Amino acid sequence: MLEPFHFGQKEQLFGIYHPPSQGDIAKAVVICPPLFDDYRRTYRACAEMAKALSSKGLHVLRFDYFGTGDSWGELHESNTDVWIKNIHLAIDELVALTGLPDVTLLGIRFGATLASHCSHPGISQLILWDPIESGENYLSILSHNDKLKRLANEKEGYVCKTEAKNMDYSNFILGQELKHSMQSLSFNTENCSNDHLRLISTTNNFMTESVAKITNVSFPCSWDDFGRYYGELLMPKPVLIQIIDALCQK
Amino acid sequence: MPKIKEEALKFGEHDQALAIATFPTVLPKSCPILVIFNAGLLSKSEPFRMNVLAARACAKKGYIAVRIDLSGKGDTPTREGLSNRESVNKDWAALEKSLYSRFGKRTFILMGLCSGADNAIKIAAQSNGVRGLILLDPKIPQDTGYMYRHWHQKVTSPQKWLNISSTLSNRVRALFSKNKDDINVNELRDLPTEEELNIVCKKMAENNGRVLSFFTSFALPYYNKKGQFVSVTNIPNFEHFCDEYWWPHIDHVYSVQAHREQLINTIECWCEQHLQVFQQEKLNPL
Repeated sequence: MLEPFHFGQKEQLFGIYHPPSQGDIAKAVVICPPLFDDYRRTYRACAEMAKALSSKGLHVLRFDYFGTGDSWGELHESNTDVWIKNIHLAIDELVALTGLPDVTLLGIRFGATLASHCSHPGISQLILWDPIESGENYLSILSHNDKLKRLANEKEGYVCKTEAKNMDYSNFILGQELKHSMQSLSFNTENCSNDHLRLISTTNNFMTESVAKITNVSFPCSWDDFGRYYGELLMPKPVLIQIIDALCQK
Repeated sequence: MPKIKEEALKFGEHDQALAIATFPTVLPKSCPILVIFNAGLLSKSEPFRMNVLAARACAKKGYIAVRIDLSGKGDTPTREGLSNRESVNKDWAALEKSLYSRFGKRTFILMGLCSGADNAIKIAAQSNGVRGLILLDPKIPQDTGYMYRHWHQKVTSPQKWLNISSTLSNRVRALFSKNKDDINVNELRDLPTEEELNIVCKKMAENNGRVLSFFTSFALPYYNKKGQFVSVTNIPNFEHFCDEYWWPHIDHVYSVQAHREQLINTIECWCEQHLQVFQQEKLNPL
């Protein structure tokens, strides 16, 4: 069962609420999605995960940040402060829908990085899947992947080198404000020693050693390996099982 | 430019399938419905939000644009025990009923990329309400000149000669190794038959319909000349009904934003140009 709706200021955000389909364990989860190609690759996995959580009695809200997915707006009109406020709005919305006092944030990739900066009093727990540690590094990787794409097309002879060099070959063109805000954002380590933070890592090289609880899962998500993953969708069952277990724990 | 709004629609068994309709806040009486099928395994907003922006652009031109997750994709649950074709037909029947109930009976234009284009053709072949198609990389037959152009392009391309050693070694390697990661996407597609494609093109011509088609580098195994689609239909004057774009410099999923913008602008202009045609009753062909 799912309930799609628009919410927030001028109803600019699109969300899908999954009420409990069996029982009700009085627990609510807001999923903070990833961005760009990570979003495309994990969309179905998030939908299936929300369905599984709802069958275990949890209330789940998935939503899209302003300027992404099915929400209104465009990327160049947004920045990370807006996105953090979007998460706060989603929390308010789920609390209002369920009557529960607080929620767990499940953040994925850059969504996890954003979630680590949320200071909403209604957050009881953070579960973060492969958070991006450095926004600046992330943008470098995206830019590198754009270059690889251009080189691949040039090599095939499908694109004139002059055309490729003279045009913006970005997967997504970010506005200056958004780019700057992403570059300045890093994973917030102030939450790290918190008992209510749990990190699910498939990369096994998370640099911030002060995170209290890390679960390493052996599954090749290949987040940054453009040549390997391009085109693939992700359905990482071992990761989803860990996340669902973590969320269902009392 | 009209203001637009969006509405989520649930349809199908137990109202579990999901679509989002974008339309002018003041809805013209006879505006057509543009249905955008999801592509492959992607959700209704993809690839890279292309369907979202295309729907909003067309809604601003006076269309009701509906982007949809077919069963097993995006937010719509899988239907067990049915073939892809059977499942798509059931999805369409439910969506059509839901859209008529919400907006009244209107002309449909169907749009899709890859398997979305396949589904658009298959549905248009059996539905009487479809008068327009926007097809991104549909599979069409090769024409008689295809192989000549294919080899001519290879032989006369400096890039191909420069890369010949790596091309040959890759081919030899592929010949002797079975890599399970090498999947030909075209083999996974549930393609419309040539007969269905012919029926659709004939219908478009007979009912004063319109077709807009785009072919990218992905189509090179079967398409390599602008006008090939029109020529293989063998329908007299079909170029009057069909606009064809050949963009070999663009990849299948429009991963570059500038390319997506080029596509959406083209679709938007086409929609604006033909809105009155779609609003009219069917006319006799030329």
